[in-house]
Amino acid sequence: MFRHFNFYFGCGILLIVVLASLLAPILAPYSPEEMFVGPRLSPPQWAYPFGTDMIGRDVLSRVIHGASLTLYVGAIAVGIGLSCGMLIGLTAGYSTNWLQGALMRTIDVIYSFPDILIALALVAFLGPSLRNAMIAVGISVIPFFARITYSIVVVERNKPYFDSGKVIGASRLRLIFCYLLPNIIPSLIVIGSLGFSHAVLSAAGLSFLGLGAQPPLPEWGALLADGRNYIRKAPWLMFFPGISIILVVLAFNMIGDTIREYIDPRQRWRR
Amino acid sequence: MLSYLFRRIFTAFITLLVACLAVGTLMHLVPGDPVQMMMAQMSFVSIEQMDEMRHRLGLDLPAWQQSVNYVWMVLHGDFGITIFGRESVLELLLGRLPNTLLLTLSSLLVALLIGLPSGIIAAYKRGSALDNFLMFIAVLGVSVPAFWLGMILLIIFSLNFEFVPVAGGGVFSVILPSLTLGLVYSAVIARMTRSAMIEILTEDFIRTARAKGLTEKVVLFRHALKPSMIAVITTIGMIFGYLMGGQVIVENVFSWNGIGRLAVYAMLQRDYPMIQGFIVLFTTIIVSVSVLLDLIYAWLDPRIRYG
Repeated sequence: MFRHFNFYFGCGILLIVVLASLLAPILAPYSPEEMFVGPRLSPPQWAYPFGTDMIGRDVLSRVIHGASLTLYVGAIAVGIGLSCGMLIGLTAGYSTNWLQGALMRTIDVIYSFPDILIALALVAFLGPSLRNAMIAVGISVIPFFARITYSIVVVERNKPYFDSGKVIGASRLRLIFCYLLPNIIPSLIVIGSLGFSHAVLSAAGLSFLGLGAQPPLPEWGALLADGRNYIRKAPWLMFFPGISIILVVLAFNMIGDTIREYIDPRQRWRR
Repeated sequence: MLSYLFRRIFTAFITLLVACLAVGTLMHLVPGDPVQMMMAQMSFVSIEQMDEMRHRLGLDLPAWQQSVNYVWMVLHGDFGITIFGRESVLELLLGRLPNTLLLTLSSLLVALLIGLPSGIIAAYKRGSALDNFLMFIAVLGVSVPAFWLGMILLIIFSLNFEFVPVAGGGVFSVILPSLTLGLVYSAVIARMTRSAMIEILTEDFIRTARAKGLTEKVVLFRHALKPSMIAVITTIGMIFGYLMGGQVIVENVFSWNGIGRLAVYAMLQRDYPMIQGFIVLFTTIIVSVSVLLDLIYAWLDPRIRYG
């Protein structure tokens, strides 16, 4: 019962965020970049529910317009990480011992480095921008997806249905794409959703350091970086973007957790 | 057991050697001319100076030779000197290491003190309101950006109560950053402990222990805790690695001078000897930790010891 609550709670938040990002121009009371719509650093009040920032921009409008950026960053990063990671994991999981060893050893070594460091190194070479931050975060999560795909494939390729495919004489490509892939996709959806929350956190961190979204983009991590200098005078600058990040990440975590329990029957009956 | 230990140490050494060889070719792998990119930030650099720099970094040698040279240097404890400031890379890194270790160990302590008991209680009372509550807090915990939590703690503690220092030196300034990181990672540990514990509690030997008439306390702490720690130890090892190098953003919030921050600074400046030194040091730490973890596994699970 409570699990269902978690799932619906997550979906509800996600729905709100998606709607906010689609309807941002209608919902937001002001333009996100318009200066001096109110006094500088005004605390939250009826006209500016989330307050205003140091140049009089409406924080609510900026947070609403930032929603689409956050979803976009997460989707691109997970897209890069999942597709490359899945390809590596599939190749390693179903190939000769030699290639498998080489691929997974390399992935293991890279995986032992914190992914935020890898992302930072990549941004340092590519140059700071939102686009590069997305690419960097996407590449930094490849080892994570590759390892998970690999571990799932190793389990699946020892199952009878896979042997039957081999016996029928299915080609290697057919075995991978028609036998393995459909069976690992449900697990990958879960991992993708958990990876999404991770990517959003990393990208926000990069923007917070000034290496991701550049001003005046209202990305939530960048909003936190703005608010940091006014931590004493105007804590609302930090509070609302932070809560927004938490809600989106929480939504993806809750949805991922629930689906994982649903598709893993072992966990279901244990409850 | 001893041969197991030696085998593990030997493979660890080989891993390190391969890592050093790879790191040695780093400057050849980077697209573009690294010297030109480094010099781009300086004014008035002559062609001769650039050639001298290339020679000093060994860029005029073929990649394999440069890489072997690097391993040779590292084996002799020479990590080179930084390009900006011309300081010893090893001294800079080792100077920051105590700071990083202090923050890592204190954060890990906080995380374990909160995470382990919550995980065990949640697993034991699974399905109860308490379990649901603890796991809601835990999923919230893994969803919070650590740097945001850090700033909120800063506002609450340092600006309202003046007794905790905000940043800077001193033993007390470790309190807030380690509380921040500890809280975030305690959520990870609690989730892991709970699921590992639940898995163990359904095993046959637990039913046997209960059937023997042992008290719940003995069943839980004597029989169930040790085997379920295997999965948790893996998580702790991973968190250790993250705390040693991946807390750049939290270090930034609290102006904490760890090796992670040093590395990021070097990356932004393209100070290659510094980046190489960091990668070698970090790999050494990670590899040593993984050897240590394997020994703990062997202690926890006799099947590994005698296998």
